[in-house]
Amino acid sequence: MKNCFIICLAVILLVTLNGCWNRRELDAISIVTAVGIDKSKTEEKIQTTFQIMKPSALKTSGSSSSGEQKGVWTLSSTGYTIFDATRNATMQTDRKLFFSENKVIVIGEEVAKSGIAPFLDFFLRDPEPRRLSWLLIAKGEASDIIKAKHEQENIPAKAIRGMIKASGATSTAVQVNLNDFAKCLSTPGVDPVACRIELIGDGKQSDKKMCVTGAAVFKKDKLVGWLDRPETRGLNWVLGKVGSGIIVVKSPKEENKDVALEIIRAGSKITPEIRDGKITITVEIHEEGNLAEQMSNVQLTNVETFKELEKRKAQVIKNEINAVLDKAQKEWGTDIFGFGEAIHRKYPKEWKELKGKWREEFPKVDIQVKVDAKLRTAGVSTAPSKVR
Amino acid sequence: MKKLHRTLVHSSSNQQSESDQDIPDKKGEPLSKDIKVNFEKMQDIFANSSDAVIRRFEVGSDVKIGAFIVYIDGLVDREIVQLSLMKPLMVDINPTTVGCELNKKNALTIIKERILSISEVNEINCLQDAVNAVLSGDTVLFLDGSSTALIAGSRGWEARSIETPDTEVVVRGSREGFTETLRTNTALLRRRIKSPNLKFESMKIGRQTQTDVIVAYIKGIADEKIVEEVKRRLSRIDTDSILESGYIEEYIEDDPLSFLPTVGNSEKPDMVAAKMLEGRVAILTDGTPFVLTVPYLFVEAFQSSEDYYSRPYYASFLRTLRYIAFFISEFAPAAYIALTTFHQEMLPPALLINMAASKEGTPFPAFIEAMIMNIIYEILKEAGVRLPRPVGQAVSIVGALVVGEAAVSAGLVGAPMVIVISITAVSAFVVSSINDTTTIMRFFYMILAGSLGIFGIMIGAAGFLTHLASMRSFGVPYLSPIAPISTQDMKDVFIRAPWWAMHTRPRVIGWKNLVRQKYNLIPKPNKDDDNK
Repeated sequence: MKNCFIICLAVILLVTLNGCWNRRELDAISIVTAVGIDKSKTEEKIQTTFQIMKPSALKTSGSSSSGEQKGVWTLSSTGYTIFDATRNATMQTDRKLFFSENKVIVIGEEVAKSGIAPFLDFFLRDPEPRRLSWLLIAKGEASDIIKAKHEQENIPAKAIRGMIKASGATSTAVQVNLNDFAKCLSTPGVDPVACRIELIGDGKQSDKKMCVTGAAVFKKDKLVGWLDRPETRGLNWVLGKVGSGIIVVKSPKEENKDVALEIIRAGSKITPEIRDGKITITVEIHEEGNLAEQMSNVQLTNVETFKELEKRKAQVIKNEINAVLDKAQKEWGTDIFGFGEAIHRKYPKEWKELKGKWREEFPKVDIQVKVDAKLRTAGVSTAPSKVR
Repeated sequence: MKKLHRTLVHSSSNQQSESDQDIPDKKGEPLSKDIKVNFEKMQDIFANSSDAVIRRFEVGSDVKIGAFIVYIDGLVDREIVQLSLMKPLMVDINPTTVGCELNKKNALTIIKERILSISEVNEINCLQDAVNAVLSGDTVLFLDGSSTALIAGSRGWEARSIETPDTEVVVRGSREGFTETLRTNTALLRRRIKSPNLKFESMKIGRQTQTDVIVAYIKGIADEKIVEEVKRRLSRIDTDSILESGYIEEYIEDDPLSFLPTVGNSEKPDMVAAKMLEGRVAILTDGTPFVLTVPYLFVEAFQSSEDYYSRPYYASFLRTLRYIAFFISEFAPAAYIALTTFHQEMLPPALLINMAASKEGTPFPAFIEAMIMNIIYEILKEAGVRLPRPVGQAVSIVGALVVGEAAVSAGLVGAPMVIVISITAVSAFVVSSINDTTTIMRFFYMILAGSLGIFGIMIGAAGFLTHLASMRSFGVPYLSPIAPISTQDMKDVFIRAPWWAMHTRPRVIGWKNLVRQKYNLIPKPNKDDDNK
């Protein structure tokens, strides 16, 4: 009986007296959906901007039609580190910030230029934020992006996530989450890229729209430059990440008219070769596509035209790749394609030597681009619609 | 729906004299030859018992022999007593029918052999036996000049007729249920198993109630050791009363402190017959339609008699569904508490928003909310069961309104909580045979989840599983055939294999006589037909 009492007491104490207890009710957390990181303009501090969900306004069910009520609340706080700034935010929120549902991390241009790694440590170290959050670099201030509205989505962060996913339709943006970025940072022989986000449109700040496009190129963890849309697709060609997209070429029959070719599938193969200490890298692109649209009014569906279209398409692809290769290799000297990694895989012994001086070696590397583009079908109508 | 139910006379009668009776002064006392002494003794014993009838009369035409009968009014079939006992003795008796002159010496034998037109007549010499027989509903005939009395089987009392049991409702299958009358129950079993191997061994338990208990098993299929063990455990019981088989269950359980039952019960004869045919032993108790079966395994809670009557695919689906429902009814409120107070990151974003929205403005933490709702639900359930039917309906309407609608609109609890509780409640009824266990366990898991989150639930579940694995029922591991695993027996655990594939009995119980049917009974076209 006495033993039983002691056991019961022990169990009760075990359950009630444990120190580290992170029980928190749902109405005691502020669910953060997006974080923006900038440098404070007024003092030597970091400024974080949080987009926080307002559950009562976002509730989908029930009769309470919240109408035009804003679904999120944005607030800024400053601190010496990200965590400091996060805790400082609780002075305004009344609840503790909750990062597990965080979708988007936006980093301001200025911060990115000064080196991004210290700012990511909190997101990689703390157990709460997810490594699957999308990482974006704002052209300008990150806080402007976080504060921007979206017409369709009640939660702008959800819209950003949607835009990143939808970019697969054009392949003119890179899809990089925190985990990918951190992996690139820590791997020798690869330099990271991140998705670019900017506000477009004229007029008032609040009327501008968010636009996810292009890529931000890093050397080590510092932002060195931007890639525009064709260049970004060039990067995606090399990385083998082109899923879909439209390639516009001139019609072989009527040189002033355009033909749109849809990319159905694409792949790439990077083959490094070291001969007499000279490094050559061959990039082979295999692409298959359809004839999706033509602005001219002539029949294009014959073997010769298809051959010609294929040739023109290959040239467009090649141009896109060369554009990005030029910028990355010659202008910035940053290996965003992972060629170093490819050498590492094929020549592990040689890589040991190369690793240390890869940054110096990379601009001297000879890169060959071979494009094999195929045109398969022409949609459901073989002949153009006749205008009589 | 009451009718006069006629019970046949007890086959094994009351031969064994109870050594441990509560009426010590009459213990094993022999009957006297003098009828007056016997009469006085009986009158003395049944003094102040208004339902006891002691009727004096005389037997014989020329030589009058004093006689009296004793019976309890209400326990006997009056027709038998009047037409088969009194009339032959008082009216029909004469030398021509008897064949010889009646005297004190031969009277008993002649009456027993030639006069009483009752199928079951026994002789007794002991006063206690006579009293027991009377109390069981038999009529005892005392004759002057003989120290032996005759017991005439005349049992027949008002009893409930065979009805469909409320506890185990089936769509397909026998609708008969056991009744409160022991003899009817044995007949229901015998009608299903027409084999002399079906044995009914009877015994009496209860100092005051003298309840008839029958140990039923199929000789050659049931393990003798289990039968012996059942009998040993039953004979240990020395108590005042056995009013329901639940009493017996608690006296013979393997793990009396556990939440889980190690003795099964059923109200359906086909279910009990099926279990006996797998090698189990049934314990029938007079006065209750609930028949106990041992050994009882955990997986039996998930088996229903209908599984074996409907087609195997659907039966297997339902089986799996029951396991899922069991887990839901055990863990749903606990998981809800854990997820909303500790592991919000595990919820999908859209759900998290909705849950957070419904949480806004509710006054209590999720744990208290869940406790309130669960307790309210249990109160409603109990009220619904106990109240008379017309009032019960009112309770269920109030319950539906209060719990379903008003609690949410009044801001007492969040809407998701109501859903969780309803799902839990409905799921619990799917596995109704261990409903009481799940109810208790649910509260434990809720406390663990409220204090330690998923970690607490895991600790609880691990402890529960360990406990399950450590239990035994009459020597059979409680969790078998899952642990220790018996791949052959898995055919009847999570799925129900077709009958032609189940050619062996469950190994853990029916190992003595394993083969149930011919091998390869799968229906197939006749080979001769192919050749035509």
